[in-house]
Amino acid sequence: MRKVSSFGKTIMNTALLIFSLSAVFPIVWMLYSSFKTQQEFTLNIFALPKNWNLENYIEAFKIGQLHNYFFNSVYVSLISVFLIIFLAFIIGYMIARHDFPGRRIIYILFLFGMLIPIHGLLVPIFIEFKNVGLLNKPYTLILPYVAFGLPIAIFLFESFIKQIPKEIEEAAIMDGCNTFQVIFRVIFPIAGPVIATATILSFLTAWNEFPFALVLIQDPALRTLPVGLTNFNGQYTVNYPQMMAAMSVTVLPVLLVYLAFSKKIIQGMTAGAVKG
Amino acid sequence: MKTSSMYKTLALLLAILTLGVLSACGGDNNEGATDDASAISMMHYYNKELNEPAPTAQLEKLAEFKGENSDIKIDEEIQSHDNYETKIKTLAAGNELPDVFLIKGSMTQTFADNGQILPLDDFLNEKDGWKDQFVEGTMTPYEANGNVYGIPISGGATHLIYYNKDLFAQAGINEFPTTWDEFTTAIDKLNDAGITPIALGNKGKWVMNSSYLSTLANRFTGSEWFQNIMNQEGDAKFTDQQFVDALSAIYQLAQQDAFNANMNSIDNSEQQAMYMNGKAAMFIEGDWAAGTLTSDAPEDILAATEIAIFPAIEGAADEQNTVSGGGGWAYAINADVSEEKLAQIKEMIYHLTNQDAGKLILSKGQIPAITVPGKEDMDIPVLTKKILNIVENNKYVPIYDTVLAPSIIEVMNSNLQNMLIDQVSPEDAAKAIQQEYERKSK
Amino acid sequence: MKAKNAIRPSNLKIYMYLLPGLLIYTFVVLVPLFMAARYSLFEWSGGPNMTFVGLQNFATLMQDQVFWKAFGNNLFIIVLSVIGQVGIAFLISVLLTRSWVKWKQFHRTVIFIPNVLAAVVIGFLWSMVYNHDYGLLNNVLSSIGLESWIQPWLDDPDIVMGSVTAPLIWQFIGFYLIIFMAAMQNIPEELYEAAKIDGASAWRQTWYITFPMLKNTFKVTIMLCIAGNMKVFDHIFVMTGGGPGNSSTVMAQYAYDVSFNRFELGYGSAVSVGMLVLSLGLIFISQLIGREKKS
Repeated sequence: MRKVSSFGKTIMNTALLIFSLSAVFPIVWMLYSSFKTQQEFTLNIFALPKNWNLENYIEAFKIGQLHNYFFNSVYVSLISVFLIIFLAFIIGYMIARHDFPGRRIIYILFLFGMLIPIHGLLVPIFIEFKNVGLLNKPYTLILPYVAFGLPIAIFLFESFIKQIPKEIEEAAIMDGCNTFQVIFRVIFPIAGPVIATATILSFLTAWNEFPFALVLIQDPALRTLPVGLTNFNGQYTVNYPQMMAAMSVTVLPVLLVYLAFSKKIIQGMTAGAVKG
Repeated sequence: MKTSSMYKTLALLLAILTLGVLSACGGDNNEGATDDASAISMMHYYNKELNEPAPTAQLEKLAEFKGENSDIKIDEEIQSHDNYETKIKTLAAGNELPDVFLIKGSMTQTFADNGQILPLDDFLNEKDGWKDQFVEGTMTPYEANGNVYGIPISGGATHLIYYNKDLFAQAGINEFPTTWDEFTTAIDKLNDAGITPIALGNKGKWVMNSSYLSTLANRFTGSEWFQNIMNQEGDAKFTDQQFVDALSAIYQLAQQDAFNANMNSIDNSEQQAMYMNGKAAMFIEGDWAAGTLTSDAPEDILAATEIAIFPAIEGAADEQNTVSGGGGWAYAINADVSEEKLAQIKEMIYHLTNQDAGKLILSKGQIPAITVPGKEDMDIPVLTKKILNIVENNKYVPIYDTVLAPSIIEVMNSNLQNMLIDQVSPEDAAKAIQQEYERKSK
Repeated sequence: MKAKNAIRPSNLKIYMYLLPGLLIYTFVVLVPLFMAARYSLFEWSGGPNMTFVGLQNFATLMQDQVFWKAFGNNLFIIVLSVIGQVGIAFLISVLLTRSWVKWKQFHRTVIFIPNVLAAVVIGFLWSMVYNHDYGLLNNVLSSIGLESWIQPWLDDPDIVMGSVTAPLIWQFIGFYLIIFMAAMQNIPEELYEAAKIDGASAWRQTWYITFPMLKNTFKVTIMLCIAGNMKVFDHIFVMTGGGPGNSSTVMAQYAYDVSFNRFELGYGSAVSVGMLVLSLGLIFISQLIGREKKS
């Protein structure tokens, strides 16, 4: 029986540790750089700040209007995520469980969405939204975020639900559950990890989305953070530390959301852990 | 039970959501400004917090105008510079352009051909002597089909050599070269002294085009050749020897290591940073860079900074005292505005671009498109004064990327990047540019 | 019979369930897609004037060297990413099941973090890593005595594609890791226990149980990998702007340039349609290969 030598183990452990650290480093770097002055930053971009001044954050809120955009981002992202999970779960369930005319076509149509380059649809979507009068409304951005978030979520749900043994549902139906109840009372609770995954992914895409937010919204009162972030770029100048401060403000909430969910995933993971 | 509580939560969330959407639907009634038909919609990229000279001046003048005309409502959408371009093009595609907005030279032809913007020749003649107050060449980028479509704001030079005289002295150069040969010798000397001769940040691809080639090529080809290219007259071609010679001159600079090795992966603010850190003896950019230097450069560097332009080419026939300039942004008016709005917009644009506005722009450290009387007595930054001096003693020639079709510029820019790293020869680059030029002319 | 009917709702009911999602999707994705397909048959610079040109844009596209160069770059990224993103993620997910691997909790949590960052932030960050003069990479290389390895990472057309792919791999490993970890959870414990009783080593278990059981997951991840990397744009745009020349231009950037810089919206739509067709083709091929392996 071949075993990994202890030397091999040390190497693997070190490699993993280096990789993991490289994954945290950018955020750490971004955080401490946001306390530097522009001059300090250009002189040595990796050095720690000499003084931890909050100037950049104050400026960031002033220039970027971050406090205004923050709420919009939260609102748009949360509703989008909720709708994506809700709709995708139903669709994923139907496609995974039932055979109905057009099932394959519908599934393929949705999967197709993952291939579509967003920039290619920017102009047609703008024109369509303009014609129907959907530009510049509080719910404008929710539509594209949901539509473009559905494919991956449906995909994840469909492949997960397919693997669940049918007996569970059959028992529930015997107990008198209707379809909606089967979906959300029986299947939904056991899909924890995959729901967490889909939630994180759709939240991230909505939170970080930029082209639609730029083009479909005019009213500054409805702007989201990613568009606000670009306020830091002038025509010929960029103030990096200030931008870092603003980026930190936008990254921290997502990071928290992720950390909240990651715990859930890991709990689920260790409960049924595969021991090697 | 856990499952039923999850179900309840879901139902609750759904209810909240529905309410949210409904109330959101109702909410747009009191948005006010955006739907107010009598307000002038305006789009620009001025952000007062960024402290850029011309934009700040425009904002001040705009506030002044609003104060004096409280009956005129102006509904502004402000985007950052890069976003502004994407957004204005999308709006144009959807025929949703604002009443008044900013255009770049390269947009003029398309908007004019589509009938989306108004010709402004009559407007320019309405005000006494106004048209003639603009510096020669500053209107060129906004001309299409024989009309002027934009009123320019700033219009400084896009080519200026900012050099550090202390570093030059260290390399044994006591005066800025007056001929091209001397210039290339100076680069060798700087290299020998271990100083990067020119900091170049060409990631955005426009630096090599607007700040180098537009001026340098004019030294070789003369203005008539370019006029022919622009108007598609005569038999001027990009493959003509004069133009290939201009490309070769740039190619030779790269060959003798005039630039930093990462010239195609850093941007213009990084080329400024290299210079400000004393790592490079020169960088070549437009007049706006003076503002950054004045505010961000360490004192010793700022004190050592002088400004020059490309020296004359020996044996070249045409005039050598030219510098590319007169670009930037200009106000354009939507072709669909009502008579009443048009009158108001004209007043506003005049207020933002007349000699008073020009004076304000200059005092903040950028070169306005309009002439400013009495500027000798004004208190303006040292570097800006030096630039003003250069601009006045030289003639503006067009900046390539404000007057040529965008697709030609794209081919030109990619080939310039490749030429700098010896991936394509000047001859082949010229051929590729000519090919795109012919495709567009068809 | 009765039970079966109860499990399977009527077709009408199924369609009612699908309707809301389908409606939004049709409105936001499918209709604009048809609009784009229509634009691709026109010469159009935005605004009111459109000239019908039939398939001429596609004829141009077939001969457009920049487009095919960009497609080649996408292919390059895809091949490296299938190996890098999917391969490394699988490896790490297996390692995280081993008892001798330390700080598992930390790794699990942290490896996903780059996914939290917007593409623009990642691009910006890595351009700092690659910077020739003060970049992290060259600094590290010179401090460990490997001066000869120092490169202008983003300026040499021969290596630039490798340089811009590394951040993509780095960022998305966490994403695939989550998928693999979730999938492994569904492998029945009994299989491993049986193997253990037979005395199979951990690596043999991985090879003979985990790997085959995850076949479907592999297909899924490879498909996602292809789909994602055919559309990639912002990362690379921030790092190199597609340069030097066109050496790191990808299809999505080209489509954007054509539409928004050149104002050729008709041709730009043709480029987008071309991208879609190529993506479909690639996925089709990858699924065919997957099927052959099975038999």
